[in-house]
Amino acid sequence: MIAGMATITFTVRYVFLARSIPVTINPAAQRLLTYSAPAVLTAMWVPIVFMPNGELAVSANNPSLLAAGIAVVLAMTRVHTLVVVIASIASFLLLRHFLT
Amino acid sequence: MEQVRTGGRPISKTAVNAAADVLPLCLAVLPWGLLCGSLALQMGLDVWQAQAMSLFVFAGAAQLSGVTMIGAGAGYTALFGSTAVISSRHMLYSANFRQHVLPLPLKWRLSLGFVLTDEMYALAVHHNLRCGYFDRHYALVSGLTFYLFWNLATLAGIVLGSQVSGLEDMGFEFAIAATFIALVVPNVRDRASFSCVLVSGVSMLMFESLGFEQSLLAATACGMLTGYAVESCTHREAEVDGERL
Repeated sequence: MIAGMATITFTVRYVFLARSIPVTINPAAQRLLTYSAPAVLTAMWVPIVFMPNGELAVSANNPSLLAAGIAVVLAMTRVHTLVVVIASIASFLLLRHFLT
Repeated sequence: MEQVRTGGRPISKTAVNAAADVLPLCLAVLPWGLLCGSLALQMGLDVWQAQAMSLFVFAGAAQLSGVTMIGAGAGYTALFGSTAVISSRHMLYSANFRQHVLPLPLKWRLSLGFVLTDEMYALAVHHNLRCGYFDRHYALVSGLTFYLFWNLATLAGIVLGSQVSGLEDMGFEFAIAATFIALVVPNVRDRASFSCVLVSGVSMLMFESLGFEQSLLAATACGMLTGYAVESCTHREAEVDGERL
């Protein structure tokens, strides 16, 4: 089972790095692909922040939403990533402690 | 105009930079690694299998869902299907890297493919924008450092075993959100990337609320297409303005 999973995870990563695959990625597709990182990462972090319990929770009582706001502001000020990550996790833990 | 660098930086310096850039992401992923190790044991895998997961599969979300499914007695088809769906986003990264990686020797292509993760990809793309060229050493070192941390965290999870239970409450999910925010926000530079992020996020919430199974892939597609469309419109406007002048 592990071998099967490993084969799958390696294949999806390696597929377009293989020369044997006769694909040329045209400039339009290449331009589309530049949006893959922001699109994927956002689709992954948004549910954690806005739906911490599986349901939409847009309120001042949602610690992950407030802490994510802090993370966004910090990230915009171009401080080091380490500061963004640590400060927002710390504020998440604090907020959750005080809000619940 | 900004000068475009064409390479030639000492490899050791690149390696240090890469390791320093990936370190915060390694820290945020530590609790996930711990959980992966401890959960694997709870789900009936032995110590070697639990570590082999991180050594060979090396995919956070796919591993967590995988060991849970194995514990629940899921069959091969369901297990491999879910692994493929969760991991399919990496094909996008692979496709974007093709132009840079294809000319490299086989050992480089294999190793870069093996350590290609969300985190390494985002860092390498950002580094590429900043320096104006694809730096294979930077990509490899950041990928390998992340791999090393992931496996050490899994090992710690295996050693600690059930002591890590209750980790779900420690906000490890938020740690991932914080990392991804830190990776995305600095790259939102124009209308196109902003629209991409906005549409990807909003559509993800919609798909999730509706209980749509392929929400991640669908939201990604919406976001990417929006970014592309807005970029095309911006170019066209610029051209029209240019003609008027």
